[in-house]
Amino acid sequence: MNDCHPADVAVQKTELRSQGRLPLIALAGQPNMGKSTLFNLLTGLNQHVGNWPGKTIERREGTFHDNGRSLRLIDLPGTYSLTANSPEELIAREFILREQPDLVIAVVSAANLERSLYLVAELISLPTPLVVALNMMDVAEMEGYRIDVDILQAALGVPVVPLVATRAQGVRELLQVVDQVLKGERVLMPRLPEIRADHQQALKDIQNLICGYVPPPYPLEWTALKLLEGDAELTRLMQETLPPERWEAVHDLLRAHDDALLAVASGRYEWINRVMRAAVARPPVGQISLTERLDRWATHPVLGFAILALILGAVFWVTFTLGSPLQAWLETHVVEGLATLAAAGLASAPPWLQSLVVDGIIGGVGSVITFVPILAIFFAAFGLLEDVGYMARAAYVMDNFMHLMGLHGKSFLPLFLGFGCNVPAVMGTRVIDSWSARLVTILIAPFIPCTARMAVVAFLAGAFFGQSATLVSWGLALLSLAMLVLSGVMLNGLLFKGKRSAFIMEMPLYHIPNWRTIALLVWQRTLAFLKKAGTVILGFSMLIWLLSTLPGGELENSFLAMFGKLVEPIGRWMGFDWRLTVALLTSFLAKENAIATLSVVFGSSEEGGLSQILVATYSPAVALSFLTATMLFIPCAATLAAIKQEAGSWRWALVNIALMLALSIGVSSLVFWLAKGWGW
Amino acid sequence: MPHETRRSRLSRESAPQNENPSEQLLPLSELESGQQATFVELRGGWGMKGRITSLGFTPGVSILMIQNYGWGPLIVEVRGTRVALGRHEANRILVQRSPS
Repeated sequence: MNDCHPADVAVQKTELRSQGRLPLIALAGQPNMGKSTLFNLLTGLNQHVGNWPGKTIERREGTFHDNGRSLRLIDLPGTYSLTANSPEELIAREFILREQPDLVIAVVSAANLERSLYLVAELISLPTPLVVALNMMDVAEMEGYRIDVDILQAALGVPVVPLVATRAQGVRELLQVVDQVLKGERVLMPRLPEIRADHQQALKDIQNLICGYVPPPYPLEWTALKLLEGDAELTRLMQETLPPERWEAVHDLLRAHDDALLAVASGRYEWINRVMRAAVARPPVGQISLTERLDRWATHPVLGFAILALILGAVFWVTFTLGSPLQAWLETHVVEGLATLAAAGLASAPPWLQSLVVDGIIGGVGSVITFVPILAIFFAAFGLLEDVGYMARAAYVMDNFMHLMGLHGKSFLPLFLGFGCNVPAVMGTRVIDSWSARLVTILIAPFIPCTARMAVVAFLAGAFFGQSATLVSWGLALLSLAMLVLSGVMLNGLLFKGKRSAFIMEMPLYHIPNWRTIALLVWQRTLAFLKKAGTVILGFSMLIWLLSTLPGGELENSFLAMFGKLVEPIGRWMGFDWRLTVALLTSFLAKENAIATLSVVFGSSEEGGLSQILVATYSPAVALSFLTATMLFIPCAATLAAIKQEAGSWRWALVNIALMLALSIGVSSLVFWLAKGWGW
Repeated sequence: MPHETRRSRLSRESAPQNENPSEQLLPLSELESGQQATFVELRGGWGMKGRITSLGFTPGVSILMIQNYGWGPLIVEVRGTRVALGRHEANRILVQRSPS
């Protein structure tokens, strides 16, 4: 039962809660405080990345050794507060209250102390021991702040350890303090913030009303405070648990104090300002910071676009000068080498087994492997832009344009990555904080014409349209983008009634990138892709192989061809015969497969011969329609796997398939009849 | 900060504009680049309220407009942090211009 008259100052007991398990430490902090850098520094590669149960929010857990024992470390999602405004905030506070870690390390930025102490003001009121890691001491010094750590420590009543996580400075000291707190050698006397004076009575009244009814693990005073803050989750919970007449009384009090959120927040900031006045000397007024100077260019409405275009151009340049040769090298040396090796090893095996291994398994897995260089480069570029702080500027510059689709600026960069490959685009949507904007972005990302699709376009447009090939390619890319905007507007209207998520975003200080953080991110993302997409692709690859081989061993008489002939009436709308239909179907495995399939069904292994045969067989109208369908057809298996992973269920992947299937059939039929009418 | 203590005593019933009729409230979006203002109130749902208070917007806090071109999103500085706001959001934040 709750004690209805808690003492004003609580002396925290730090006996280990984790009897028989490893001590558990949680890292908490606002975004852009260098929390991940510290996490990576402590755990290295001893970390596991997954999702929080039932959510698609990244959960990172690791272990590290200190002073002869192992400790578990959980990286809580970056949150500005602990009120249930977002799933991240809910996860962070439920974890602290329910899992009861032995210690919470709050990572704050010395260069942004006032704002970052806000979360500390919340954490310090929870029953878990707290240590403050005062990160970014170097940036603070550069910006002209002078912080007296001892005074800060005394004012907060909990240990404060200065840190430069990017240079691994202060980690030893932090671990020492952690050790002392875990052993109970340091008594914490946290000084708690109070609600603004004009609401203190209301807080007491609510506390008295709910006393005895607050379900564990929620502390009484904290729950009363969260009710005043308008926390939707706890309001719902207390409405369920309280007897109706008590709830009525609480509800009346809350209604009379509907501005209490501001009073609670003001109380916290007054507490912060008291602490700051004692411990921090501010830089002289008028000093222009590096961030301010860079932002004059990066967020300028005209120059900002130019800079964004330059940066994105550079990303592409790197991808093509570095990624494409690597991709080709992997294709010829690794994939084909493996195929030759397998064929030689299976020389005495039955032909179907050879074909299964060489075409089915190695062919499918090969397409995954050859994508790794491009993926890794995109993940690295993305990680770098995020780590230096530019991502927020790109989002700011693109905000107006993205409004057209009911999205905001943060959706732009993930979508842009889609031009290389749709997989990083879908995975990159994690930077979007609102779920509705994120889901819409995931669902429209496959409309971005990726390099694989553009390769098909380049080959066929070159064969059919000669001098106008470039024009046709541009037209097809623009058509895809038009479909993207259209689908975005439509999905936003249908799924979220056109409700726009609020655009409120911190513009973090620019800082020097931490290569360790970026390298780890690339490694984890690539590995996740290989694991999750790899298995899906292997499965689909074998399925398509089976369908194209059985029953007779010839593609022309296979189940796939039968299916192609079965759906030929639909193909006819677009001007396709069964061969084009089958080529389109196999592009599901990987978009560039469309060409490979055509060369198999026309029995021509050499590309020059294939383009001549194709031009002799099909009219330009059919070619244009086929290219349109290829651009808009359902995403490839890898992208689909990524959609399933990021959206959290196959349901959204199916929604995406239905949308793209309908659009590709509809639009390419229209294109076919228009082109035919034009006389092509 | 003198503003902070003065505001904190204001109760909800006495709207700030009654205090001095010449000091008009205006939406944050009308503040020009380089101008300073005091945050007075927010018209918006709980979700947005929670987000902007945790980013440092509380009654009485001083806001500096860093960049406002009259269209599109804008950038302000509050409690030493730069925050980008959509125009729609900035329209719902009411401030009182500080004398320059």
